[in-house]
Amino acid sequence: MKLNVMVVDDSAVMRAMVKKSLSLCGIELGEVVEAANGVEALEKLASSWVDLALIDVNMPKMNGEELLNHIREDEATVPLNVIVISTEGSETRISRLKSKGARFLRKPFSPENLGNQIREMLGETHGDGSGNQALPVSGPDF
Amino acid sequence: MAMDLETKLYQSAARTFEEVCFLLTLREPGPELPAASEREIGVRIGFDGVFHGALEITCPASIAEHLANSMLGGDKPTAQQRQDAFGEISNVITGNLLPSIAGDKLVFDVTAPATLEGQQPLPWGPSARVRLRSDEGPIDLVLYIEDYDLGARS
Amino acid sequence: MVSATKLLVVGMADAKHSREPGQTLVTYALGSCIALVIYDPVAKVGGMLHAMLPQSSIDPAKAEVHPAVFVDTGVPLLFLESYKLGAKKERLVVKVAGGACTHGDPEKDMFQIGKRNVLMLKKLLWTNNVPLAASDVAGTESRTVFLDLETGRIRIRTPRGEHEL
Repeated sequence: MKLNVMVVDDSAVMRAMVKKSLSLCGIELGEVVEAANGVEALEKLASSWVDLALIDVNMPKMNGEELLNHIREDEATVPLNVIVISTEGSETRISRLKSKGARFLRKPFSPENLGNQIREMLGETHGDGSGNQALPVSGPDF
Repeated sequence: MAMDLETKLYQSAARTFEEVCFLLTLREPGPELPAASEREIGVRIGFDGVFHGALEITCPASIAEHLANSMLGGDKPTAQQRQDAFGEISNVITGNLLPSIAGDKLVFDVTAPATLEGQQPLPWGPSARVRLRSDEGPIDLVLYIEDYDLGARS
Repeated sequence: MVSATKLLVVGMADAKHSREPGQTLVTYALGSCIALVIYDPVAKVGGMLHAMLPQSSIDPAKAEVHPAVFVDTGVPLLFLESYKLGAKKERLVVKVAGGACTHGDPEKDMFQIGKRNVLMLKKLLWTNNVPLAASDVAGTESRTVFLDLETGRIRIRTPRGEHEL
């Protein structure tokens, strides 16, 4: 099954890095939707099917923690798989996020870290676990 | 004791540059204030929790371009992406630095990174200053912590 | 144990490829050098690079003649040559070993060649959309790396013993 993923981060460069990591982490990817803050994420969640949301914490308009609260309060999005990807270093805040059913991945992270988190979360139901998949052959050198 | 803070700042920064931008950085001994000509690109990120302060990072524009290019995986960055990438780097460094100073139980709110251009100087003296040397050129980091008792905490 | 007759030795600053079943690629005593190992499990094509330094810009003339000396010229060579033997980029399993600091405290190593080699490799793979399946890098131990072309298994031998990558 292909996985539809939403990437929520106010930094366009970080969204690009997360998307690239997704393409390299051995998960069979479907559609990838982007949002720059929590408000935008909720709008897009209402209009697209998302299997997994990767969300940042510090964002304008609505931060990641508030977004997670909204996700868990809405019947339609309660079961959504969420991984918070953040620079957050406070165990107190991380525990709070985890208590709301989110996993946590600390920046900086590698595609391998991301793949492992996703596979653990989904119980190894996606990808072959080898870290390999069809990749866009777009590199300039090889 | 202040030296310890500088070591923490160096370690947080070096790890970030390696893991996010594939750039090896080494610490320059006894950093001086960066020359004005080298402070072409700068970013400030504030934090507020058990103590209050900010981190400023400056470097020549060519390095900021190189960092953004590495993060994007080879695509030539726009000026906006360059600033965005530099802000994200400062965010990651701050996120790693604060728990190394205050422990991982305390909560800090971190502001969005803002360009240094046109900003007022901070009212406090630097608490730690580190100059990093890299193959691409120098990168300067200055940490400001208001009323921070370095002797008691570091 | 590996039969000596089936070993194909990859020397320092060298890259070798093979699709001979039963053959094993090996490179000995990696210190700060890195071994990049690629394997296509369908075509059973394998390749191994033993690169010494990160960047060819320090000696472009040497890189022209011996591209495998440098990570940034050796890695493209390793991939491109494997395609000629039937490997496909999207099937390649990519692993790396080495990048150690074998002469003392890594913190005091002025040149950090091992770390620079690994960083250059990771940057190249990221830029070229190639996932890194496994790595065994850094530390202070010397490593010898074997790639079994029949199975794709990679074994690493250090002074402390042997393990699979």
